[in-house]
Amino acid sequence: MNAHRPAASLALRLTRPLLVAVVTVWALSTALVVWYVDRQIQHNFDTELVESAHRQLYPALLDIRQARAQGKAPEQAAITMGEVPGDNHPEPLLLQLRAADGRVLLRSRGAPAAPFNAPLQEGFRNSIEHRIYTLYVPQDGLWLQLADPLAERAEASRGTLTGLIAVLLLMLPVLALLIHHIARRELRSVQWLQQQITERSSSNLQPLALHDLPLELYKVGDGVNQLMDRLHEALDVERALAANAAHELRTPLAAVRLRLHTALEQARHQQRNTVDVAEAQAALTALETLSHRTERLLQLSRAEAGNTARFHPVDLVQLATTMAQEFWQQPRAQRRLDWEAPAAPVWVEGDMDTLAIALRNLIDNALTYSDGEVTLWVGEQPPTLAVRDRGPGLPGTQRTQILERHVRADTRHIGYGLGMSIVRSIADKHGAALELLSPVPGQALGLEVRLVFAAAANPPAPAPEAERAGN
Amino acid sequence: MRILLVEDDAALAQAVLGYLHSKQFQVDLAADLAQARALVAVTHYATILLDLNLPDGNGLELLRHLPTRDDPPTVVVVTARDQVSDRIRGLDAGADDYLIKPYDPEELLARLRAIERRRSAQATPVLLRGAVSIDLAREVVKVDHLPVVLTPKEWALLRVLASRPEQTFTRERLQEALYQWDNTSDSNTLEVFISRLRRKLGSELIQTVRGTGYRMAPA
Repeated sequence: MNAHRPAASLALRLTRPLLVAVVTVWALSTALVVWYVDRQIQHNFDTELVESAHRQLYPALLDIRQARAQGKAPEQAAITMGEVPGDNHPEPLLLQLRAADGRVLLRSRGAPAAPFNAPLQEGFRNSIEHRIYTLYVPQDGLWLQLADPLAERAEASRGTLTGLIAVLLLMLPVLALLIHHIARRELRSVQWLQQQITERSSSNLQPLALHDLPLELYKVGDGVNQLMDRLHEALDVERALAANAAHELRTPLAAVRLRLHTALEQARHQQRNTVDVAEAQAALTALETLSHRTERLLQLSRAEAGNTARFHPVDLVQLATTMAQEFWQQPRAQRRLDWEAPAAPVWVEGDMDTLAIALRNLIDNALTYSDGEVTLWVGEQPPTLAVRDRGPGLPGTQRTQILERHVRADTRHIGYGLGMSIVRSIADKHGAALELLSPVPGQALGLEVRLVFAAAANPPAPAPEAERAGN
Repeated sequence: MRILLVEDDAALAQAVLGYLHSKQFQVDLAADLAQARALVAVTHYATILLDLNLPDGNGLELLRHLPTRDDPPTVVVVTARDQVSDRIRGLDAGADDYLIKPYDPEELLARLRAIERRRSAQATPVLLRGAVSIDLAREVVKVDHLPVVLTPKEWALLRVLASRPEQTFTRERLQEALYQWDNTSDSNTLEVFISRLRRKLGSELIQTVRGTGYRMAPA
């Protein structure tokens, strides 16, 4: 039915970005943890290096003093230190005792004969393979250097990182499944709503059951219910109209045919060549009724089909002036219709032709269903089109009925009810409120019907010449 | 009075033609814009009944082809009832009047008689007061050469005042002019309509004569 292929499911659309977001945050925090742990590891190794240096200082000094006492010349070749704990360990102690000129005077068994690649300067220094701690012994003028293989430290850091990433990789599928499952479970109500909507048709416009729905979906459902309400109303109108139209048009048509038929019969019967004036007149009257009703039905279809794309600024004053002039051409209206024009144009966004239909109906109804003067007026703030009569007015129940229903329940006359339903429909299209006031404010009787527009529009850029005509 | 009927619907055209002939009018028929153009070029019509939806274009096109002369034809635009915007466009384009389709023969006749009357009344003087010109015979009021629409009641009042522009009219006399309307409301006081006329035609036009009534401003 739908031309567009639906996009991926909502559950999937939720799962993907959520998963990406969670993994990103997780990866970021893992990186931070790794950085911190690595720093901690380096710090611990350094502390240990310093401690070892101080621990090994004394035996190393002893060794070198002993060698000097024995007359060995450390200047020629470095003495190998006596055995120290850990020498047999796969990662033996790497120690060198160096003279101020850089020569290695003493070294541990694991240490290279060549001096470490580090200047004689207290503190830490990295060579390609080692981290070297240098300690100065002032009383002997000697330098002690203790080295720690960098590979060892890297190994420790790598171990931590691997552990953390392994946990992340293991948990990722679990997380994905969990998110997807939760999303699907929570979205089950969408499916339920969709199912309910699918069940609706032109014959079943029951409101959707909205209890237990989350707020967002409740609003969607509520919107659908309101739409169905309006649809229901529109379908009612259409059905009523089809029935009414057939009935209302058939009656005058039958009358015309009957009258003309009778007139011709009589003429033939009496062998005259003229038709009876009364019969012809009655046929004409019936035809006039017919065209009036056809006109209204056409208006209604036009009002219902009103297209906001045709909207442009309309001057209500010019519109009312044009309508008043149209009515003043009829003798019945010339003496009864008064038009209170404001001084300046009143602009609204709308379709002039359909607004004219609405106003014509209001004036026509007022002239037909009341005696006495009918006043047309236009308000500026908010923009208002209004028609006031001095007839008996309308009781509250009837006013409500007109405002609530499109077509009067007992459509004996297609006239008033249909006229008002046309006006209502046009008001709706223009986002204008239809107000019925009876009696007219400040008076004992009468009915005033107002079309109150939500907002004024800006006049079109080149102001029309005809403006003055309304002033 | 010679009339040009521009109408593309043959059945309707024949019916109107027959009716107008029976009323002793001289009528020519043009079924489209091209024919109408050709006819207005050679014949001087008093009135043109102009349908707007023609097979070869919009009827308003014809207005641009009318020969300029002292007494140009009165152009009556014929439009469907629900095409108010067309009607306004027509009047803006220079048409003098409009007729709503479908129209009754009586309505058409009344309109043509009114045009006849107005055309023959052309010689009557126009009352001038500043920027305001009042042509009582043709029922046209203009301010700065632009027509102003008056309601029937406003006209009734102005007609009395302008019929004898030098005379001061009592409130009672003027109120009488309004009495022919349904006076079911208190708002129909004379002052309301005087102020409406002043708003539309300028405050100087009608002068108040204290204790007596109103009069037109002297020329």
